[in-house]
Amino acid sequence: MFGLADPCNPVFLVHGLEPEDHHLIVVCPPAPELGGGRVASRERFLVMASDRIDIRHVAKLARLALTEDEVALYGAQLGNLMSHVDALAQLDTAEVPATAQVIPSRNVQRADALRPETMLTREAALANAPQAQLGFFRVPRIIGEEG
Amino acid sequence: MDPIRDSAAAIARAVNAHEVSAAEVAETVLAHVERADASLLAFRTLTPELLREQARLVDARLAAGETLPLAGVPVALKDNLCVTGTRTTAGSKILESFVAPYTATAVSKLLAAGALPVGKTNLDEFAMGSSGENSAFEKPRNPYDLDRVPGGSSAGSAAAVGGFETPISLGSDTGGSIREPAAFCNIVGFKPTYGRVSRYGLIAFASSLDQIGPFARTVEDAALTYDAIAGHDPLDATSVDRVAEPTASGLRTDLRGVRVGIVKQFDLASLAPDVRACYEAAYADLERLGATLVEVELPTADYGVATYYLIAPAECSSNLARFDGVRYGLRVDGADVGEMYERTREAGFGPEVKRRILIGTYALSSGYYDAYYLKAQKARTKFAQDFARAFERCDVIASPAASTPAFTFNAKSDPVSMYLMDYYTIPISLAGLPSLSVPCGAVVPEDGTRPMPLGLQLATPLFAERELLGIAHAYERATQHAQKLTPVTESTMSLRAPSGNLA
Repeated sequence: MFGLADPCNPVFLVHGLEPEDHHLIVVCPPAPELGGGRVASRERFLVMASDRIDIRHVAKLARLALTEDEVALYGAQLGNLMSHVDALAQLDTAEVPATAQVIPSRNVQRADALRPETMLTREAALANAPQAQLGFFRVPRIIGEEG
Repeated sequence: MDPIRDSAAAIARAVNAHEVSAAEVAETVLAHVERADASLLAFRTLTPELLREQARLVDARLAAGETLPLAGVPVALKDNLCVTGTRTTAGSKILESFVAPYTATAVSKLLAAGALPVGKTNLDEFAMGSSGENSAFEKPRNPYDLDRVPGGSSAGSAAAVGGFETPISLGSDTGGSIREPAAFCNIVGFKPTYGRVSRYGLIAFASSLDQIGPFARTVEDAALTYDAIAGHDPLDATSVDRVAEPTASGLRTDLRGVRVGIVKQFDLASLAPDVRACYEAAYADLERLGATLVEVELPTADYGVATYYLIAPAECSSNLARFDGVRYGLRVDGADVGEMYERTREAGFGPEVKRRILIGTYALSSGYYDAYYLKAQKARTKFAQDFARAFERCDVIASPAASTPAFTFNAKSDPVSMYLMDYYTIPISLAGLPSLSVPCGAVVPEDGTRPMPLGLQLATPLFAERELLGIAHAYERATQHAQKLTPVTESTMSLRAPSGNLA
């Protein structure tokens, strides 16, 4: 995972400078083209981000065992798409709250009671399992051998 | 009554009147689809047992004195809708053998209304695409030119209705996946307000945008289908808890007093001259029917595709994390559980799905979240605000549904050029608005010989489905564009106009 001080990732977020927004700060040297360790604008950040997508790292996060051909293909395509997406930086959203849900909504609660019509039997729940055993999903070993 | 060519309204009238049984309709349609689909490839799976069982049930209910709004109406279901005991693939190898253990609410409601499920239709894998070409299985063809795509992602559902296999079908629309294929296939495709139709049992792509909706050959049939599936569902927490007014009773015949907004930023000058002329004629027809045209602003229009291609892949990467080879679907073994996950997903997902998972994972990864996902969510707020402002000056917004008619297979090899197909539909999706595409004419593409249909997109404020369908009906009734084309699959037969739309 990207850490806040990940050397591959010279950009990190400082939270709390303003309550409604976060600031992007470039800290890791050497990046003279960005003004070396100073605060870079969001726009600068976006433009540079698409140039250095580590596709292998992203694939690892996404749990995809890409082939070498795919790394080359998706790396190029992702870079191309992100350049298109970078245009968003020009849209002024300083005064705008984020929208996760466009429909007026409220918290939804229900009685803490069984709903048999939506419950699967154990048999039904396991019916699509690639491997099942003794009423459980069977998976490869997760915990290493003792010793 | 002809169950192949008549409207859903006409079929339901005949079946309710005991002129023909649901069982007879089922057998006629099944035999027809088995033959017609050899060239259309709309269907992934036919469901004859389910069809016959449902037909028996409908006939029994009618015999007991009931009247059902969709009695005996054949319906095709996009294969990302779960139906108990039925293979549900979402167009993906990773779910090739998945048998759904429960039924989507929208499907249950259609069955309760008397509809007959003919089968599951092909789609772009996990509903990601604008042509149907991203299906891991059969690639459906356009009924008006078999060398062209039917649009996507609800490719098979659109082809089935446009090609006169079934009068209605269900699709899902995330960024245009109902409206674009409807335009390409000369039919009506309707995406209701986000939350109007329960998503319970719809295999998730981008949860804040996905919405189920109908395809039909007439606005009236789309309204009847929508009325059957709309409404609050406690099984979907994002389902809207407010009364869905019936729309089939609100169909208008003129547009007097209606203010139609034309978006200044949707400049028709960028379109091919014949396509542009078609839309100019459509706007003029709206005016002729009594509407007033007003120019409205959508300053964010050009940011729609960028905003969408952050939000939708981000949600997709999260939703598709569940496909890991443990509980359902494909598994490819590995030395440990991590390797099993990676190999399973590598083998099970196709190129477009992998691309979107990668985009989404990147956009959500530590250090990039604010710059991409949060920025896109703020842009989304701007879209909602811009539309709200536009609707202070108009009742409905009219625009093209797509910038071109259906293109040929393999014409769009660059992902971004495919993404731009959704330029007109995406802003409306981001704002959650109800919207539809209704046939508005045809042009002969530069690389083609046959006239291919175009669609007029209409959109109204949140929850104004009744107004939207009413306006679309007035336009359809006055122009009758859909009747002017004949599918190549049916060109040897004489088609008569559907009889249910001029009541």
